[in-house]
Amino acid sequence: MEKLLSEVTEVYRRVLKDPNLVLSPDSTADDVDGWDSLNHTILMAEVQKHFQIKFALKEVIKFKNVGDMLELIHQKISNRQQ
Amino acid sequence: MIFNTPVFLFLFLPVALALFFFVPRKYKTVFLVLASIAFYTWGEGELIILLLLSVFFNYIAGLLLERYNNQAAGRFILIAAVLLNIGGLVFYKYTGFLAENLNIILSALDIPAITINPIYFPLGISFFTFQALSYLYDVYREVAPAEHNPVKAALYMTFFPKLISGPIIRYSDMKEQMDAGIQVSTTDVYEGLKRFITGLAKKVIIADNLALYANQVFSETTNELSAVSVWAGIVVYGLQMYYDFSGYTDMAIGAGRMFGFRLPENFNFPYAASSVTDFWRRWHMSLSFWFRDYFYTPVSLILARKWNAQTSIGISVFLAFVTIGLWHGAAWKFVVFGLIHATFIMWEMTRGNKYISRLWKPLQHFYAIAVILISTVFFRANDLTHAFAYLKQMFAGGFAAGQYNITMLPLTLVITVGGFILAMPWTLPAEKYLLRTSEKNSIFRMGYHSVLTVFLYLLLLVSLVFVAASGFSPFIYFQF
Repeated sequence: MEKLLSEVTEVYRRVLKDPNLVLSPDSTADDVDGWDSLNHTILMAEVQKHFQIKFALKEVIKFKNVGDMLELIHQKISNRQQ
Repeated sequence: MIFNTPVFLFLFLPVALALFFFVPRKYKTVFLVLASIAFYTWGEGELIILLLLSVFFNYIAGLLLERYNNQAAGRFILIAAVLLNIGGLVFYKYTGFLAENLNIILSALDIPAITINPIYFPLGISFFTFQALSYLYDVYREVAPAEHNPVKAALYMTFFPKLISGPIIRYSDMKEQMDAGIQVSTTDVYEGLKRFITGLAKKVIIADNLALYANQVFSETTNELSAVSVWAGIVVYGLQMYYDFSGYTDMAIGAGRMFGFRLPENFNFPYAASSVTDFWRRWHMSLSFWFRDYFYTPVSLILARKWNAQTSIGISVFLAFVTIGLWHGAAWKFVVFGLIHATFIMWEMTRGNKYISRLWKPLQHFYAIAVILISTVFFRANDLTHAFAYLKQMFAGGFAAGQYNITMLPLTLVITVGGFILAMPWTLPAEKYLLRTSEKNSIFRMGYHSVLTVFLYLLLLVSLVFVAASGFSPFIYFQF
C-alpha cells in the first residue's frame, strides 16, 4: 500500500503541478489544493493509465478518500496478476 | 402556498408553529409531512397527487435499489427510476417546448402540425425531482442507505420550507437531522425568525421595488431606449434576481430552522465573484453543487473511459450548462444563457485563469460581473430576438439622438445603490467585530441584541406594509 500511495502521489503531483503535495489514505478532495471536480476527472484518468487498470463508474463514485482508491487499485492489480 | 402571502404569514406559519410545539416529539415528523401536504394542496390542489406519487415511487425505488444493489438488476433499477423521474419532469415542463420545435420541423417538411393542450406546471417539480434523483444516486453508490421509514422518506421530499424552490438538500443531510430527533430550541425559533424576516424584507422591500424599473425597461420597445436605460435595466434586474431568490432562500432557511431543520446555504455574495467559475460557487450553490456531483462528475467519468480526460471534461461542462440553462425554463434563450457560461468556464479552465489572476483585483470583478450581466439579458428577455435587440441597444443602438430614458424614481435609485452595497461582503468585518465584542462584553451584547430586535421588528412592519400595499408578487424562481 505504501508503494501504491507514493505512486498515486506522484501522479497527483504531476497533474496538479505541485511537487510538494502530500497524500495520505485519509485525504479527500477537500484537503488537497486543486483537487476540484474538473481535475478529478483528469486525476482518475491518469491513475488508471498509470496502473493500466479500468475503474467502473460505480467504483469511482463510491470513493470516500484516497484509501478507498488505493484498495481498489490493489485489488485490480492482484486480480490481473492471478 | 407562497411565503409572501398573507395566508402564509398570518395563518399557516403561526398555526403550524404553535401546533408543532404541542405535538409530542415522536410525532413531529408525521406532523411536518401533514403540514407540508396541506401547504402544497392549498396552492396546487389536486397536483398533490403527483407529489405523493413521486414520494411513493421513489421510496419503493430506493428500497429496491438497496435490495438489488451490486447485482445486474441494481443498475437497471437505477436507470429505470431516473428515466421515470426525468420523464415526469419533461412531460410537465417541456412538452409545449418540444411540440413547438417539432412543429417547426414538421412545417418545413409540409407535415401538419401537432396540437397539444397546455399542461399546468406543478410548482416545485424541478426541485423535488432533483432531490429524488440525488437520493437514488446516493443509495446506488452506497453513500447513504435507503430510507425504510415511509414517513421520513416523505418528509425528505415534501418538507414545506424547501418544497417549492429549494435549497436542494441532500438526503444524508436531512436523514442525519431526522434520525437525531426533531428538536427546536428558543434560539432556533429566534434565529429562524430573524432569517425569515430578513428574507421577506429582501423580497418585498428590495426585489419588488427593483422589479418596477426592470419590468418597465424590459417591456418597452427596445430600439427606442437609450443605452443608459438598457444598462440600468439589466443592472437593476441583476440585483432584483439576486434579492428575489436569496430573499426566498432566507425565508426557506429561516422557516426550516423554526421547524427543526438546517437547510443548506444557496448564496455567498455571488456578485463579488472574480470569475465565472467563481460565480457558480457562490450563486444558487445547492443547484450548482447538485449538477457538479450528480451530472457533471458521472458524465465526465463515463466519457473519460472512451476519450481523453480533457475532451470529456469539455463535453460534460457544456452538457451540464445547457442542462442548467434548460432547467430554468423551456426556451432557447436559456440554452444560450447556459452556453455563454459554459464557454467562459471552459476558457477560464484552459487559459483564462492565467490572464485573470494577473489582472488588478477590481478588473477581475469587473470581468465576472460583465459576463454575468450580459448572460442575464438572455435570462430576462422575452425570447432570443428580444435578447439580441437588447444587447444591440446596450453596445451600439442606444447612442442615437431621440432615444428616451426611463427615469428611475428616487426610491428605486436609493434601493438600487443600497442593494448593490449590501450585495457585497463589505459589511462582513463590521458584523464580525460586533459579534466578537458582544461575546466579550455582556452590556454591549444586550444593547446589540436590543437594537437588532427593534430593527428586525421595524423591518417586519415595513415589509408587511409592502405586502399589504402592493399585493402579491410571485418569486422569479417559482417558475423553474
